[in-house]
Amino acid sequence: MSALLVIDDLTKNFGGLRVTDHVCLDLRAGEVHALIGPNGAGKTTLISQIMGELAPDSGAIHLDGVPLGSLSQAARVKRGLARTFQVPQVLGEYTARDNVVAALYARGASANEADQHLARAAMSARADVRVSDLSHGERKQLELAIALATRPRMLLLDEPMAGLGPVESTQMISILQGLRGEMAMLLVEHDMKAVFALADRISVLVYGAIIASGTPQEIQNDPRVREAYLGTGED
Amino acid sequence: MRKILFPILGLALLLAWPFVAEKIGSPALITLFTRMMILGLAASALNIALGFGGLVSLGHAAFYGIGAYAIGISTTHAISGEPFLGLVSGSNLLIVNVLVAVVVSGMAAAIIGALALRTSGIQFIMITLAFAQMVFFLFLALKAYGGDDGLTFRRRNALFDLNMRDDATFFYVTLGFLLVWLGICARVLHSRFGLLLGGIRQNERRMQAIGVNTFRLKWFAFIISGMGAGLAGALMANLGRFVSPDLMHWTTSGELLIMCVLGGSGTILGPVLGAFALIGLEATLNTWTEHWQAILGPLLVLMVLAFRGGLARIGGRKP
Ligand SMILES: Nc1ncnc2c1ncn2[C@@H]1O[C@H](COP(=O)(O)OP(=O)(O)OP(=O)(O)O)[C@@H](O)[C@H]1O
Ligand SMILES: [Mg+2]
Repeated sequence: MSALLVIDDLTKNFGGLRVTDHVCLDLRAGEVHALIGPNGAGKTTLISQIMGELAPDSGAIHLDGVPLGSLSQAARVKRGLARTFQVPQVLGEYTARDNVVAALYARGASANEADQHLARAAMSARADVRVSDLSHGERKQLELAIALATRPRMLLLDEPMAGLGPVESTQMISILQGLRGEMAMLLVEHDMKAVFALADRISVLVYGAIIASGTPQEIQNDPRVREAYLGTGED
Repeated sequence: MRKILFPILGLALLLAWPFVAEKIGSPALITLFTRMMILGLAASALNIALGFGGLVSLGHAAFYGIGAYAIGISTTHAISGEPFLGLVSGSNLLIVNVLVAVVVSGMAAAIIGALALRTSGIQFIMITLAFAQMVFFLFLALKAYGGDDGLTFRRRNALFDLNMRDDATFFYVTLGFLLVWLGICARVLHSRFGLLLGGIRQNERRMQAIGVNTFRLKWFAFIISGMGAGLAGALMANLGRFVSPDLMHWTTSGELLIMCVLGGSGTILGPVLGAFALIGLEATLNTWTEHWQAILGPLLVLMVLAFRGGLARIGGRKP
């Protein structure tokens, strides 16, 4: 499998704080690549840089070998990048369906497509509910449906399990399982059950730097990772 | 049901109004209501930016005034026969002048919007106000067109063979423009553009993440909004056959904001209701006491608190 998204020596500082520290990462087409790391490691910031919401200080991001440079978010979405938000960013006054319709209109597609994306995120039954009346778990699913409506090739998931109960988590894992292979995913997640259920490869980010990358087995057995992140005996 | 009933009742009342006013022997009420409709149109125009786009502009008096001056200047040149800047001759035709007013105010909104929309929140309020003040002082200094005295012209612009001097006729012409404008608003807001614009108001970050060029959509909304304000200014200039920099005093921008909030920003008819309520209150209190402004202020605060979401949402779902 070839690399779809290549992150090359990316660095970003917030004042004196280095949140992205010479990060290099290859994300392959169709692969689920998990990015784990403690709170404040810089995972969300990395996603925002890939999307073009934040500009890196140095380094480059290539999609299909083409540098994204200073392309706008809109241009990146058009090229196949999409993200979900750790804290749901949904349109509270609209129904779930209209949230998805907005994403369809944004790329000039027809509203008829909405149901198919809602279905993939298990949101069909709640399509006509106003978003302000949705539960947190439903909003997380809606986040996913909205992202799917942009027809991404590379989906950046920022903690899709965050705040979900056990039943909702299991459902979210199976929703994501259903998307496997159709698009590449960068899965930022603290929930190790989800990570090991879904990931083909795992990278570990600590203080802005990637300290290890490999298959789930390799990561599980990596002493640096156990020390820095997984603690002593988790999983 | 009530969604169609009230607008139809309102329209029926307006259609009958000139007859009613004549019957009760107060023809001045015709002009008062024409003023209300014109300011209602201006507030409705502001509402495209404010209520639907979430853009709190305190500078719409500029577009309103520019629309009015387009009429004043074109009409003056038509009367004097001297071409504007020695290039184009003026016109006395309402349709031509209204088009000019809408285009010119739209261009002003395009320029001001392109700069102001780089900011947001309180900064946006301040920068739109600043631009409007610049325009205000520009016209104040424009001696060729009357400076602070403004411009007076003898006759209203002509429309077909209508007797535009007749206040009732002009009332109906204004009503026609208002209805066309509200129709355009409804069309725009139920379009793809309207859905995306509403999304930007609710969460701009979300809209950017789905690939919307939010700046461009807000800019379009601001331009349409400025055009509507220019149309209102054009009608107001014709109503009084007079334009002056007073039209674009910043308090006009403030009043338009109050009308939107009072009537219900983000609804189609709310700003028009708000204009009727505000102008109606002003006119009524004015006849009771000279300290009417001291009463109007607290009264407005009470009304806004009592009718959360605006007059147009009474009995409906609270936002
Ligand atoms: N806009 C900002 N300005 C300044 N500092 C910021 C900004 N955004 C994030 N940070 C800081 O950058 C660091 C990385 O934040 P980030 O949100 O990327 O972490 P994260 O890995 O996503 O953490 P979490 O697991 O808690 O979501 C944190 O220390 C955070 O406080
Ligand atoms: Mg985060």
